Amino acid sequence: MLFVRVACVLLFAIGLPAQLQQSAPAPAAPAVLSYRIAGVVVNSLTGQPIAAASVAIGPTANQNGGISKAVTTGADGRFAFGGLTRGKYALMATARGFAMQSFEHHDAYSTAIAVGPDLDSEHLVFRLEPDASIDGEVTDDNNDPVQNGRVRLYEKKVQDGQLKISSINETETDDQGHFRIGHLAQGTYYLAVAARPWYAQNDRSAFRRKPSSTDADIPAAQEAATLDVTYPLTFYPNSPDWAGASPIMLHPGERATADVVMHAVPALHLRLRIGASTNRGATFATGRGASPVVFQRIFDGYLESVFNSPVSNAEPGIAEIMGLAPGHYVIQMPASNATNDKNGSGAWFQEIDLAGDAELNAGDAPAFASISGSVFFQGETTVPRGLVLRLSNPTTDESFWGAISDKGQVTFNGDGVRAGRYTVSLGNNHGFFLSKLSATGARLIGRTLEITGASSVHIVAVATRGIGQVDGVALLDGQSFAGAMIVLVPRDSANNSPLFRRDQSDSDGTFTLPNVVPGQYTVVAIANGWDLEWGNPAALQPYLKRGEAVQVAGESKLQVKVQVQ
Amino acid sequence: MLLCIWCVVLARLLPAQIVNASSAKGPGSFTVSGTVVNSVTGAPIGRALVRVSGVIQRTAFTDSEGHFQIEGIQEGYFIEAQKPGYFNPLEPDRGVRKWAGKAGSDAGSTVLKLTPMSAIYGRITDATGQPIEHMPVSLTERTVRDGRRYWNLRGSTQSDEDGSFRFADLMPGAYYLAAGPGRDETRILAVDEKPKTGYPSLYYPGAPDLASASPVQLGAGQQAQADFTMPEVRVYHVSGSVTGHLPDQRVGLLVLNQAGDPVSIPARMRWDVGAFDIDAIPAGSYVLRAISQGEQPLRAEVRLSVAANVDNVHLGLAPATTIPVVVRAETRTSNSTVAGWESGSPPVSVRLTRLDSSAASGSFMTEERGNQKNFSIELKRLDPGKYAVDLTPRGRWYVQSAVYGETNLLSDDLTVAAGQNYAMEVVLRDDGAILTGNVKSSDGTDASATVLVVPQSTSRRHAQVGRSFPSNGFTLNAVPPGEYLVFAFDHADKIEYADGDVLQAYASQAAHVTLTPNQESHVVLNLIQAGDGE
Repeated sequence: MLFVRVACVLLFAIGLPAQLQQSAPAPAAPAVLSYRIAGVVVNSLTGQPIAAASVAIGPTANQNGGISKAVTTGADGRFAFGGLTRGKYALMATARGFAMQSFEHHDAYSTAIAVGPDLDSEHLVFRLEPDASIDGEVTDDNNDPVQNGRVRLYEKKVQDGQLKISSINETETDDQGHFRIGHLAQGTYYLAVAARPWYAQNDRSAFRRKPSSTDADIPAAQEAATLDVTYPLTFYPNSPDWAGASPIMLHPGERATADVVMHAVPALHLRLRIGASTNRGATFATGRGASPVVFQRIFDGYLESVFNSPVSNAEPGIAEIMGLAPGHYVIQMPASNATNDKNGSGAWFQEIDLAGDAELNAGDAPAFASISGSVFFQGETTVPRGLVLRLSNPTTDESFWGAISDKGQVTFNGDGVRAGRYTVSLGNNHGFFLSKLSATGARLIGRTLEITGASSVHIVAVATRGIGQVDGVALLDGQSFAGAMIVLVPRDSANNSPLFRRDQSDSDGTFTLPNVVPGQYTVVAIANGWDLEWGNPAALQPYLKRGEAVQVAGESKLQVKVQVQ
Repeated sequence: MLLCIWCVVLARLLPAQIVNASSAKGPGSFTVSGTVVNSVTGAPIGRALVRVSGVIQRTAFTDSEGHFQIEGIQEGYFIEAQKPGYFNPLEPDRGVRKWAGKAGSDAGSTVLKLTPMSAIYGRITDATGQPIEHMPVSLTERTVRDGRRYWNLRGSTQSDEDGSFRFADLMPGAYYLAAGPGRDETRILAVDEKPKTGYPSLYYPGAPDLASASPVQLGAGQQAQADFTMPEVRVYHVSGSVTGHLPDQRVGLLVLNQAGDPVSIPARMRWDVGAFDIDAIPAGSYVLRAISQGEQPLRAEVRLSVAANVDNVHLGLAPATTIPVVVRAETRTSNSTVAGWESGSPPVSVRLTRLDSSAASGSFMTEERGNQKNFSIELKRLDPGKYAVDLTPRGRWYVQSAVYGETNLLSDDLTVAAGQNYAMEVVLRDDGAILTGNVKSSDGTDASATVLVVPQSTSRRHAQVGRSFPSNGFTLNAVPPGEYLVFAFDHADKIEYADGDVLQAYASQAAHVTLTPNQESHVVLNLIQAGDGE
């Protein structure tokens, strides 16, 4: 069952009306049979029952309504919900020291409890994982605390089918350099700190001698050596380079400590030559076109924002980014659209390995590829509202959205996209899917667009009504199997990642894969598949043979039986 | 600005002296060295940044003994030190200390003192000792300005999963901490379930309101601990109606505690149907304030005492109050009274400062428009509440009377209630007295002091303040005629002199004067040592 944890938190704050019926057992007449969900909540690490845990049942993702009932466990950790009509219920629990979790959850998926005749829903063991946390102290070369440093937490896990490291949380150090990130699940984490030395002064013009002095400039160089410094993005335990980062393996309930020392290095200066305009006011009009946007590449392609690097516009036609540490950066310059700048440049970007002061020319830099599109809605007289075309780059985690106008024209946000591989999908699809897809200016394989260079890319798509659904049951040796990872694998899976669907089998082994684009698929059920890199064809290959082949046609609901591997 | 003043001072001190060409930096350059220390403990501060600026900038870090040495200094400089966690009492927002350097000499033992900042931290737990997370905590400072006590919100945060909170980088002062209200977030609520218990709003160490709370007296460099234990109390449901707005006009609802500070209790306002309700409000006294902005700003306020569920509260919105200020200036020319004034700018400005809410944003200044003939002042968009009124006349004018409805603003504060229609009527006169004088310390020498001229009549309360210098004493113009006690304090910025009882203690050291219209009087005062200076 798919259950979004965030929505769960919102539901009981907003208070949606409950639509789940609870029938009171009528004394005389043969009433609707009522069922129970009961069991015990235990600490997943120690196995001990958890007293004063709050347990609740609510609707599954396909149903409406909010939490329908909540109870508190006694000293024995037991809970019970009675008077339930048959159906499926989401089961969740929380306690002090245990973040809200769904039953047998794996990220957004969990096992819903099916109640009805011949179903046992009264002997559940709800294993709650205790919260882990990471705290630490950030200090500088002199053992003084680093205040207001940004501490970034990354997690290495399978996301969208690929094993990658991406940012999940961020916090700030206090006046003593302390930070704390709590309510963490077990996993593999990395930590990095972005901060600025409190004494840093990166604007070298402040050091240059005033006109009236006659001293040589040696003192100015000394000033620069002392003050024109910066901290590199520093990875725990002590590395300015992501390759030297050590993972923090967090176990359930563990309080880990991660102290980081920031070492000041000479700051580098990156000068960007923007356009030929000599009129300072023209190139750097307020609003768009004023400042470069800086990213740093870490962890195999992930782009991390670099902020707080001061930019000087003192010289006309030059934007100088000060205070950078050596590293691999992507610099993006938005289009300058000042009205009196005839030589204003379009948006461009440059990727650079910065090891010393450098200068980039707008002219040398690749421009962004401009993206546009048109979508033809088959069989519709008017274009449905609210649909968008979505381009996603799984490596950098960037997404671009193109609103579809009432004439089917697609206009994307932003200045354009950099070269790379992007998946194409229909967002807010309202029952439509892309039945035909083609592109000019870029190579399209399946639903993956390969953009090289600064071409003009135009996507042409046909959208057709008819989203299907695949329901089924996971079986092992003829018995229903709960908690298996169910994957709906499209053909040519490497180039069609937007077509994958997943679910977790519920307590009666059943599962639902909604919103399926018509086509040919293989359904696999994997018992302990939650760490599998399911988007990687090589990892998935061994399981496909014993999967179930299905052909999904528009608006159909299929039933399958899948063997658990 | 400050820079320029010092430069002027330094230029006059310049002896053309070549001292200690210690490094090949050219003639006329010398070395400055010294120590940076903690002003409270005297301990040296290592790794502080010392900056000498003037013609050129030079910086250096102090070593582990707090010593620094900077060479190549030109004549005419000033020197400052900084380090996170320290501030300068003279310039609290910059954390630096400025010191005019003596030009041309080898300043060998310059001592720079930095005052450490303070912090208040603590933990919030329930009756069983378990930490409470996400409990709102706010910090309010009690300050004195113009002899009156004000409350200023200095920060707000939430407790973390250990129940801990921390407020850092604070200046010394008297602070009040408030925690709550909140609820046990580890208990899931079903959609139609209303919470029955929760945590109340408490002022450290456990008082229900500001009046019965004890402040945390924070000294320089102090880390004070303030823990809270939250009892679990019954919470109630309050609902009612709101009227007086247009159907599509948005109305916001604020729940405030007795001190006038917003409390974080979720309140649902459905302006389209004119109804509101509040869940989980602990027993206590509150103020409900409805606000509607837009073309016609509307306000409504209701005092609420909660001890059970309440369901028929009515908030009747009325236009936010605008107070026109009518000014009449009387000047006597040979026995007749003429109204009006000559110069363009108005002769009086009015400032209102909210007294019953520490979170209210600042003061309201008069909005002035028109020309000198047809002149009007307005105080706009005032929320109901209690305000201190400061009337500042200019030039030769003094305020002879100021009334608002039945309230004499010279002796009482201004209370604004919704739906009021009064104007503030101010009468100015130009036949004030002139008071001059000087201040002597106990050893008979002239001293500098803050002079307070405190009226002795019940119909006038505000004291006039002047500064006395050893060289030429003090002069106060346009003093309203009447009887006064005049005090001279070494430091008056912490004295709540608007409170008559406070000054009673010093009455024996004050001078009694009677001032008559258009007359000049002179008085010699004894310096009163008021105790803590900073």
